[in-house]
Amino acid sequence: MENYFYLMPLFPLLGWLFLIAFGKRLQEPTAGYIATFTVVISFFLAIFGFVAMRGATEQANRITQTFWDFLPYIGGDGNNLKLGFELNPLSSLMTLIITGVGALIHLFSIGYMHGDKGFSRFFAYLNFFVGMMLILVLGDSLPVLFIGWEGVGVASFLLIGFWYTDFANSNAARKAFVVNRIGDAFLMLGMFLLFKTFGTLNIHDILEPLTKIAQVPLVGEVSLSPIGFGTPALELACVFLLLGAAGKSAQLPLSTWLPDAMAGPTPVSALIHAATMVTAGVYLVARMSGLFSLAPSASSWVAWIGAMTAVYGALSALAQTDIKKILAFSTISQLGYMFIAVGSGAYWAGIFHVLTHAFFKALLFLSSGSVIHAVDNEQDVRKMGGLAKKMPITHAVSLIGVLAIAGVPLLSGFFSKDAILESAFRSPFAGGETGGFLLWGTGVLVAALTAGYMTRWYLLVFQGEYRGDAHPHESNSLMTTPLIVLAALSVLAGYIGLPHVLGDKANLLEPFLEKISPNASGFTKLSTGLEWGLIAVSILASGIGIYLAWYFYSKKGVKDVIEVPTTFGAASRNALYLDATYDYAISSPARFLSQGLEAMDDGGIRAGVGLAAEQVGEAGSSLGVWQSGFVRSYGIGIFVGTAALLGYLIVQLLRGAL
Amino acid sequence: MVETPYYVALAGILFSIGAIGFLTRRSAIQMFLCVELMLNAANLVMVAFARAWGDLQAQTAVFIILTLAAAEVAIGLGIIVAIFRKRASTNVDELSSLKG
Repeated sequence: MENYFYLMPLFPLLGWLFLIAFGKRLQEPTAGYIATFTVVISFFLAIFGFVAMRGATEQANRITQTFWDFLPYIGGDGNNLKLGFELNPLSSLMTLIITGVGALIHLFSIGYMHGDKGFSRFFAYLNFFVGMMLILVLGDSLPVLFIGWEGVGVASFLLIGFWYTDFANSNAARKAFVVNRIGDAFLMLGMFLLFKTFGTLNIHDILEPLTKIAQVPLVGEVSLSPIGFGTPALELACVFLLLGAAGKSAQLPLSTWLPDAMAGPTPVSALIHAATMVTAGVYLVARMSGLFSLAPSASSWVAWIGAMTAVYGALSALAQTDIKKILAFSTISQLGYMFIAVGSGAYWAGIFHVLTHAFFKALLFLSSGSVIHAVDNEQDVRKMGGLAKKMPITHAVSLIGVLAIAGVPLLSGFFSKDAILESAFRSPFAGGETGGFLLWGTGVLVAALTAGYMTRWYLLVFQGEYRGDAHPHESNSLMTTPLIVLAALSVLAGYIGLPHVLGDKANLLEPFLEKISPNASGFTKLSTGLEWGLIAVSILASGIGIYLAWYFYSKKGVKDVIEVPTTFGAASRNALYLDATYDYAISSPARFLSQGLEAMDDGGIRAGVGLAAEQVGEAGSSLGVWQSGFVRSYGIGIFVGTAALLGYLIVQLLRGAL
Repeated sequence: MVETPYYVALAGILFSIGAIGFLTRRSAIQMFLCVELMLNAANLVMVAFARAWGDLQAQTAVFIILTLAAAEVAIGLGIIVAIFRKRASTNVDELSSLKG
């Protein structure tokens, strides 16, 4: 069965075609059930693939399926750039997340999108997204990955601008698309460089020779002669890939599109902008782990960009007032966390957080969708509150999600966060012990902030008195069922990656992913005591965050929220003025330049061309007088002309010239 | 046997009728008939000289002109009918919307 893994993207794409072709004729829920069904089929295929990968070994860790030559003869040996899929432990785990969470969100959307006149169109796009995302994770070469990469970008664009009649929404969609293009340009540069140095873009063929030289010391300009390229090329390629990943995963400096992307329907935010698409950057780094683990500088860039983004996202989330924007900045911050992990060389920890984050963040987004649905599309948390009594199920699952992301022990977020913090502390790429400590410290700070803003989110939405004027009610079972499943997964998912201190066999995920994305070499060993210490500190950080949020937003009441924010609060609410900075530094000069160019066009070029055209036009008009519109005058012209010609010929004849 | 000059004279008369009619009539159909008249005057001259000189070349030319005229009639009448449907008139003096 697992050999049919390549059919996974087919079913959602068929669903997409079907819904695009016949969507308008379908009754409302039917389109949703068809879309969900296609994803469920893919989910079963993903399970078969995963079961097969459970038994994989270090040598036999992949199943490939090549379809046809894609740009043949480009590689030297004519063996390159084939279109093919590859199933390995990493991509198999990703397909499980995509189809599993995807199916749940499809189901939720049937309830959420009820009554929308674009109902079938929504599910068509959603199916298209799932198909493209599966191509992204299953692609066996970078160009195939890139097809999926761009495909999910298109799906994201279409779904952010789903309610396109509102100008703000279509602007948000365009912003996401344009910012993503910047990252994509770098990803392409990275591919060009890799092709130049390795002569192939097949990921396995790139990474295979690297495993043999994994022990070669990489100092300065050492040339890795066996395959003929130097360290600088490798580092540069990794930096390009990092920038590409930063675009898709909303890392600094390309993070500004994700908060705006919340303009799309909430299930879209949950599926695309939290659980799956935005983790593509993390997946890319983990997939190319063989490359990154040989590029220490690029890896530390990955880690530090992740760390800065994590802090940025967490600070920005603190004072947001939109229920979804808080979660959006939280997603940016958590993606930063994943980048810390993959930048530290602990690729499994990054993917572990992708997994747990997919569950609890999808849960939180869908819960906020349920809340938004209940309070008549109000998204301002200042007009919510007290919903715990009115929406008991949504409240319960949200609480689980908040506790999971806040890093409360025994829930999934705690384990994955702990794995990341521990890896950062002893990372070979952080730059010695001090660097590792700084990276870890940043992570702990972010953990405290995360606990803080998520507790604030919870308190403002569910506790206290209701401050709005709608009549909130619990959502129907179509919406609550996926919530309950996701809540269960948010609790349980952590137990596949228990910390090392509990024994070598405690961690199931690391050995599974090591087969394809082995950790970088050179992690320092920690004593058991220190490891427990690190865990204690991160628990303490979460506790402090939760306490402070509770102190400010529950104990003192919610009046502060409505008050004018402090300087820091305003900075946080405006996402540390990053958008304004970009506008000032890039958009304004560009606008100024284009206005200048437009003036030049109007004054110089268009005037010159216009003058020339006018002259020609005048000359034409003067000849146009002859075109009188009377057929008989043309007739006279013909006759007179013919008579003149004949007369000339006759005269010539008489003079004997002919 | 009728002498060639008579044919030429007849052709000249036919051509003159056609030319004058073309220049004086306003109905598109009448103008069209006059054009046909001129064409056939030319045909007649060619056939007459072909017979006088015993040369078949001009006769083949006449055949070509006949088929051409048939095609022209089909298209020309079609255009006139289309104009009539649109304007309820075939007065060519009114058809001057494309003038310069």
